[in-house]
Amino acid sequence: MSAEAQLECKDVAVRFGGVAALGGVSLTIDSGLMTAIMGPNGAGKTTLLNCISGIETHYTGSVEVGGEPLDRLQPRLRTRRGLVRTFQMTKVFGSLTLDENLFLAASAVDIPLTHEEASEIIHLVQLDRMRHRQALELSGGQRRLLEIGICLAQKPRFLLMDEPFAGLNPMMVKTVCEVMTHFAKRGGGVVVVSHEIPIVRRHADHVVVMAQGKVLASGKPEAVLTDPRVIESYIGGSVARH
Amino acid sequence: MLKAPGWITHRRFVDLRTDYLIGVAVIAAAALVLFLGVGGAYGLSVVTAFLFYAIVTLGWCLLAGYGGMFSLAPSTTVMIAAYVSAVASNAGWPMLLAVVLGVASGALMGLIVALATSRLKGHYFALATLVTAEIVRLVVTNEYDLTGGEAGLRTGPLIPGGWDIAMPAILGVSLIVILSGLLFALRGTPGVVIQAIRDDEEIALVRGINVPLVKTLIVVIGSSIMALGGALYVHYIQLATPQMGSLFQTTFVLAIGIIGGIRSISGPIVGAAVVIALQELLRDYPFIHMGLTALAILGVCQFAPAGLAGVVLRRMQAIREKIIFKEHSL
Repeated sequence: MSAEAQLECKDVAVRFGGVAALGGVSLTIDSGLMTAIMGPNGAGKTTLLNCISGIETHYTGSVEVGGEPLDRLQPRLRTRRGLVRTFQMTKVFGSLTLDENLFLAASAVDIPLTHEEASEIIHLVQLDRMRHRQALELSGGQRRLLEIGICLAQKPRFLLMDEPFAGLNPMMVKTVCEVMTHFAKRGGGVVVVSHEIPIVRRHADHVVVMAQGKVLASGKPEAVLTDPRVIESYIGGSVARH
Repeated sequence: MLKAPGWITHRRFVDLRTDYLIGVAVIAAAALVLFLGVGGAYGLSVVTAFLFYAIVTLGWCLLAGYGGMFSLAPSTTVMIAAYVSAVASNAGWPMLLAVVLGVASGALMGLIVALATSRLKGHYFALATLVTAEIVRLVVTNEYDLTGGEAGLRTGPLIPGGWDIAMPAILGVSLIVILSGLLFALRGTPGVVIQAIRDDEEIALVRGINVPLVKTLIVVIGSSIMALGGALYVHYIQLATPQMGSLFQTTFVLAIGIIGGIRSISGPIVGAAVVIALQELLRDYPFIHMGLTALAILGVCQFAPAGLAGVVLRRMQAIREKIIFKEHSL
């Protein structure tokens, strides 16, 4: 994997008052692969995504893409460097149509989006029927799919997804998995924060388990999800056996 | 930001076209009143006031309705532009240049306010503009040598010895030009970006939009439109006073915007027509007028938050969707 195709976090640490939300996290995310970040609630997974995307600015350490440090860049400039993300609480522009949402996202990073490309994305996230509707008319699950579509319209290098499967029906989960696989196959890097162990086991190339703001284990899914420390602090014995 | 392609602008244009046509229809009705000479000089002054308030409220709605920045200083911008235009024309500058200077002063004030309040949102922004308005009004009142104090500053007409119809004609043409400019801008990328920022400012920032720049531009453009109204109207009433920047004037603009609809380009025009008509019909009963205006604001907020223009637009959209549905079913 070339240096240009890597997203690196070097000793990233965040404190909220007296609490260490992240205690020096270092990890490397390769493009073309799907990396899952797991861990109990409060482990610092979303905080790590916030540091990578620039929403959290008060961190120490460094976030780099292809060797370029991004720490001084605002979120919008990190988006321009190819880092886009979805949120735990879905964020779309409600008063805009689906087409307009995609156009806006692409235009904001100066990427021309043709009608055909927009159609392809809309089709990929299975929202063809709703295309000319305002986003506020979509259901919660459909909004989550649209948010992923918005990210794809920005043609990112790395797609950061925070709990993308929450509240989705099985068909939608399948769609999200297909989108992530499709994106990774095209050379993009996927970072997904999730508690869905079966999905991660099936689709992720690399798993990072965090606990109390630190990386507890990292590696191939089979190895990490059977690690006794991971089972003890996150999965629990009975689940692990399944 | 890239220019919006046809597959984006076409649909937006269809939505905005009705809005634009409603505005133009109301302006045309005002022109008809002038053409038929209804009310003589009185009718002329009422139509002129309507056009002035429509321009000012349109500028304010760009900030409050489209940009989500609820400014409480529209009348201050008008007052500054009026004084600058009056001072410049009194100093012997050509009238056109005086008006341009007035507009530029409003734009400058908008820029200063935008930069000073860049980190403020919601009611904090509103309070900051209210404080700014009061400070500016006090300065204008006390700078007697330049502004004439409470008594105001006299100035000349836009066209010396010209026809009475000149001012409403210029205001009307300006209003249609502004309306057309907004139709053109809002159907494309600027419209999509402004709508997105109003929906969720923080996420617009994360998606890559330069939100501070866009908001500053909205304030500057909105202020310029308001200032144009002030810079022209001062040469109609031929007197600039600190009362032009009073809180009463601001609430009048707010009432027009809220009643007409702050998120449509025809809203300020419809609102100005309704509020000015109500004011003139109840001229002899000021308390009833104030009470009815307050009731109208409450009623609109409760039953039609998109304003009167919004109600008409929604109805027209429903009819259009019904027609499209019928065509598809055939």
